[in-house]
Amino acid sequence: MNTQSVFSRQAIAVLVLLVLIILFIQKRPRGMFALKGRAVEA
Amino acid sequence: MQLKTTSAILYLDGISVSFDGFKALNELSFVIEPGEMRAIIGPNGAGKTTMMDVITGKTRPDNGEVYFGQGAYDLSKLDETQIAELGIGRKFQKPTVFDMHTVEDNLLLALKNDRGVRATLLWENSSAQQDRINQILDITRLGNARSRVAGSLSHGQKQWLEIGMLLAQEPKLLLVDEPVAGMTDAETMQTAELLKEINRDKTVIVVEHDMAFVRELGVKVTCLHEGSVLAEGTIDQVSANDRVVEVYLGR
Amino acid sequence: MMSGRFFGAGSDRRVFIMIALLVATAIVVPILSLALPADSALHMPPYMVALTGKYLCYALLALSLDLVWGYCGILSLGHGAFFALGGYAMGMYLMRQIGTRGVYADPILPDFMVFLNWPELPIYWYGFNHFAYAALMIVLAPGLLAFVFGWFAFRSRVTGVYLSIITQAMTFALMLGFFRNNFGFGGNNGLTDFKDILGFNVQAETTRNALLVASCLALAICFLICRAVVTSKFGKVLVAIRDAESRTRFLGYRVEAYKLFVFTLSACMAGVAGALYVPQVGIINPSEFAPGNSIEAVIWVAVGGRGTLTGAVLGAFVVNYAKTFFTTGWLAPYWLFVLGGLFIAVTLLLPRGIVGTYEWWRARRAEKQAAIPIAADAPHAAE
Repeated sequence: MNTQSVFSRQAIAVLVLLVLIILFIQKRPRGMFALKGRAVEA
Repeated sequence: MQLKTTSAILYLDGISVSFDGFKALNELSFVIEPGEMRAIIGPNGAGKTTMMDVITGKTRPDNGEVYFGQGAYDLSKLDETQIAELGIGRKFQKPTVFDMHTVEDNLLLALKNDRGVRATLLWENSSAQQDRINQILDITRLGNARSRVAGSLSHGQKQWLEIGMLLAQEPKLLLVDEPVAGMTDAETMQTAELLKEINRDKTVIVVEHDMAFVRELGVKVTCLHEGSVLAEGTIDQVSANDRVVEVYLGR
Repeated sequence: MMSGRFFGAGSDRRVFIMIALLVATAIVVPILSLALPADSALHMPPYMVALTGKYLCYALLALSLDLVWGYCGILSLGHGAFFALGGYAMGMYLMRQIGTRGVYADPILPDFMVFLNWPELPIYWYGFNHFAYAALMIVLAPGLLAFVFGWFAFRSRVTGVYLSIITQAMTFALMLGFFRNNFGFGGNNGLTDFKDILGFNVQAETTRNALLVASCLALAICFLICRAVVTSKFGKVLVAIRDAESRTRFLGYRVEAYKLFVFTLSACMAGVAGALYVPQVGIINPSEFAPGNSIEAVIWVAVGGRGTLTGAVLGAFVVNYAKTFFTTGWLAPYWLFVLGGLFIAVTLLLPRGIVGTYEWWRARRAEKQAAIPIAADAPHAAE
């Protein structure tokens, strides 16, 4: 109804997304498709 | 306390490691008794460095068992820091000294000492520690380079510094990966003498390509190929093996 | 090649100069501001006192960043969050001090809560009417966040670019949170209209000077702490972690513990910086959490010279002074160009930053001096 509520739903969505990114990188520190083996220097 | 009944200081059984479908180690079994020195040879890609990665905790094996200290520790469950603390020291293929630190500081960091945050914050020098550093500087002939930044050393000097750092850690088991790569003949012989000296009270595993060096060491040789043991025995026995010649020495 | 140490907290001479300058500032500025009459040519107007104080707080933030980035290689692009959290803790204390002097004259509730029709003070505001509690929270809030965040991140071995990304995500998320009116921290208006601090009028010239002196003191103390950390054996391990993390692990060092320690210490310092900043600028709002602020802090350190401590302080002053210069008057539209240009210039021409390049040049000269006697004898000088 008011612009505040529309804006804040968007903000919450972004916030949740950011937290998910943080948690995801914790789980996979080198991204989704991590290179393994000698090619990657630790 | 013992997880496995064995007299061996290092016991590998059926270790397999795959990287994206490529089998780096294939049911590798390897045993070394305390106080032994073993030379590991084999072509590139045979799995020598991967084997060391498994032992030092850098790589988890997909299957198989790896125990240290007469079966007391399961190395597949520990990380690099814990394994280093147990007394396994490693010298890497490329010299990995701390380029930005002086020779002396490199040894200081390697010196067997409390590795905790508090201990290093409050650390103060002691004559005992200074003596030990001087001792290692003597053994590795780096005495007059002590204040030089390690990055400025020659290749051979860096190799020796790294061996020095290994000694400073006072490990029970030394893993030495290609110590004489890039060294002159004279330096190579000196390194062989040094390792034999170290072997007097420590177990040593040496990975090398230089056959003259391996012969000079005069110890049991294990030849790896495609991730498992191809042949084992004296250097003469192993060199005489047809398959070894075909795969490795013939080149 | 180079012999001797070419990294480090800088020569003792530079440290001495910095501490001396801070002490001088703490003495001279109050004299120029309070002792001289307002029409004297050398009189320092209140806005300049506040500006200098602000720069000092930024310098402290830069210092804290240099500790983790310059010496441990942790490129935190979210240090502004720790700064802002310290600032909010101070802001909450200052808000509680307003009492009945606010627009709505409520003795307990700050104006914005009355406006939102909140019946009572939320639990997390309890205790902020006591300075001691606020002082504790100034250090505890950023410190705790850094500890928890770092504990998970370092344990999972998140490094490099990925770590930078999640620090950005952290500060961005906090910004969004603090912008919300129902978060209870003043929403997008933030906390402002402060009346007094510890009983003294926040806007009085004497108070402004006191805050400036406090900022000088905080910077000096934190600088000495950083120096002590960095020149100890701990510092050598940090640098080893920065340049060869894996190797340090193989040597038996618990890398995660070292990173966690400096990260938390750094966050506490940044919190103190933010806390001193807020009464001097008179407001704290969620835009302090903006990801851009954290990136600017990195630019200060890069310009000054990362891994030198004094460089961070210098960089903060240089860039912020330039910013003030460029954002007043006719040059205002060009500030962003200048900032961008500065970033490019430093990356291409002065990768070691101001202090770093100076140090490097001096070391090169010392090398050449040492080489000259040998060259005089030998017909061919070795390089």
